[in-house]
Amino acid sequence: MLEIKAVREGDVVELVATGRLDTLTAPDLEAAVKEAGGAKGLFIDLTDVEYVSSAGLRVLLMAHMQMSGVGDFALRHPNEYVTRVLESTGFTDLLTIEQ
Amino acid sequence: MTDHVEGKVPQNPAASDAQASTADQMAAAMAALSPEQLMAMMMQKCVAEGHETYDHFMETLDHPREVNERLLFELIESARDGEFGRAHHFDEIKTIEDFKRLVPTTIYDDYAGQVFHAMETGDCSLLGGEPIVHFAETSGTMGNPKGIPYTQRAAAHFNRFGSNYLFGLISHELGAEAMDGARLSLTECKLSTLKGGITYGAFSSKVISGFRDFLPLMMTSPVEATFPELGTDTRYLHARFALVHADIVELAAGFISTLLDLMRYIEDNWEMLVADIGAGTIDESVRMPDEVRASVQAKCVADPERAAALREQFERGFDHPIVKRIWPRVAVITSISGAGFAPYTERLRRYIGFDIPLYYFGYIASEGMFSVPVKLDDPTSVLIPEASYFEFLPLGETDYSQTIGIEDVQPGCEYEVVISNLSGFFRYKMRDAIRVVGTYKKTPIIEFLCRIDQTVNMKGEKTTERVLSRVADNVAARCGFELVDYSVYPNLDHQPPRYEFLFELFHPDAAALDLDAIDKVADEELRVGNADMQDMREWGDFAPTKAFVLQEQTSQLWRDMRVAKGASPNQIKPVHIIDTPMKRNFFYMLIDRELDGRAAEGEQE
Repeated sequence: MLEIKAVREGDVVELVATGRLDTLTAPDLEAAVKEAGGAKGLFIDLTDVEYVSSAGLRVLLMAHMQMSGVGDFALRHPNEYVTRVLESTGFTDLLTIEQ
Repeated sequence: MTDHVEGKVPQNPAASDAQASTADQMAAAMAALSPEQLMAMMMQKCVAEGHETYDHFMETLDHPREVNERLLFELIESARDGEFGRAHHFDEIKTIEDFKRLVPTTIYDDYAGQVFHAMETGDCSLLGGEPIVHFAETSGTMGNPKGIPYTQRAAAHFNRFGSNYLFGLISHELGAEAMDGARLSLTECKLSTLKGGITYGAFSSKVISGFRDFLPLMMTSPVEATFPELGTDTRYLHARFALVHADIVELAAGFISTLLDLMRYIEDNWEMLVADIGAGTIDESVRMPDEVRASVQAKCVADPERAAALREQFERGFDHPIVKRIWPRVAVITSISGAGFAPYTERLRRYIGFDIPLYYFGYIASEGMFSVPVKLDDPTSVLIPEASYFEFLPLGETDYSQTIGIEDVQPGCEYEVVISNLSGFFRYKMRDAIRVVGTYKKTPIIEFLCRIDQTVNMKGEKTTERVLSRVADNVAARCGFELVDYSVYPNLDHQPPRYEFLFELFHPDAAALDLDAIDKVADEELRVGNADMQDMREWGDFAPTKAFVLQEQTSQLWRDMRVAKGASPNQIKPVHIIDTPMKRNFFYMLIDRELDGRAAEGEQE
């Protein structure tokens, strides 16, 4: 189960995700990221994401690539476990992560 | 003793080929011809060049030693004034024995300085005789990506044997009409220009870039998939535009694993693909930059009739091979499909069945295209005497003064390969192992065994990647799951050490998985696959093998990450041996701990 709330302020979109980002729910985040297409800034708040799997990471990577050359992109406030996943898989070398 | 051969041997047409720019010829012709006429002209040209290359190659196979030694002395002559040639007294080399005495075996580091200089400045004089036209980005199997120089001659050789010969053999075996139709090519290009003005990337990217304007006539995939922008879902584009065509005759992929990925993607997403084909749309969920979407959308035409035909086939399921049902004219699949890729080929059978022949690319590396098949559906291949000067050292031997030549190898024996190639590498240790399985005319038939350094060797047991792949496949078959991919970690921190297999399964059924049984079967298969392991396990040198299950899409994530970090999509190979802390961190973090309750953190240490 993953809930996604989109908050748009001008050209900047923040997606606030709550729950599990896994094989089943990754398409929901992917759709939300697509909907944010055209934004000059995209941020995904992971404060209340308790779990992220390979499928979820692929969507985060896709979001990063979607924003590449377009505008700012960052992941916000991942919990300790998600931070460890991002570090171990090399995402911290690629993406901006705001603690 | 063999002197520089001046006798009557087949002449190499590569030099003249190299001068002729096929792309330029086509550009001139394009202005005056309709697409249909142009296509017909290209077919004729392919057939003619294919037959010429095929016939010439066959001729060389009667005189492999002469052709091979003639090549060596041409290479020596051309490089004698370069830094390497001067340092190793190329002007004094009159015989093969001179060559082996005066020239030491080399590795990449022996050329790295000159290559770096050439890449940075465009000045290739340090590398020797012939001008460099391209630097190939290697797949970096054994370390960081590096640049392999391509001379004009090397480039022409790749074109002849990577394209013309393929066409020649297929038309020889199946008739030229078998290739008269559309092609699905999964090649994706990434090419950059270095500071010195020379191109850098996979060589296939350079070749295809030269034909960019003609690709719509040659391939089903749109240029947006062949030259993808970051963030484009290329699998969708390849699949969608291929499915539109009912008359595809060839499925081409650099690595067969890419084609397997595509077929699995089609199986999982056929309803969306069919809906899009029927309506002439691109589903909103498919990711691609807006400008790419607009460009691709402009090429989409609603085709309800084709969509209905596809739907009918897909609704019948995938238990009967789907490829011939949706593309009845497919005559051949061309790909690197043997050795380490053989397990993917077997998994692909679910989609292709057994009645579509495979053209197995032979022994190919960035340093050269060394062998090609002489018949379809055969994973063995015949050495190309004009590809490189070949030396062979029996596997396990270390005295490189004792290498033997192309006609001296014995069927049934295994060798390490040392090459002097068309781009200025001399006595270069490929660190590849091959087995000679026979002789065609007078030339060895070989099969690629493995990269010598790509083995697991904790206590001298030397388990090759090939054995590991067989173990993974047998475990999947015995335990009843479908394998996406696998990785192996040699865990030396565990006492005693143990092999750890990490399996990614295709849509796993958690309830049906017995992970303890998978451990046991993996251990049994490893002992069968490597006889040394049988003994060493009994002696207690190794702990029982352990298996873990990876989260779905982990292999795809690895690929995506590599692409995001700048790797060429065509060059990304699966990680079968975890040999760096970075790979270990990546794969172990993505173990499916919910599916595998046993995989507590401490268990990995």
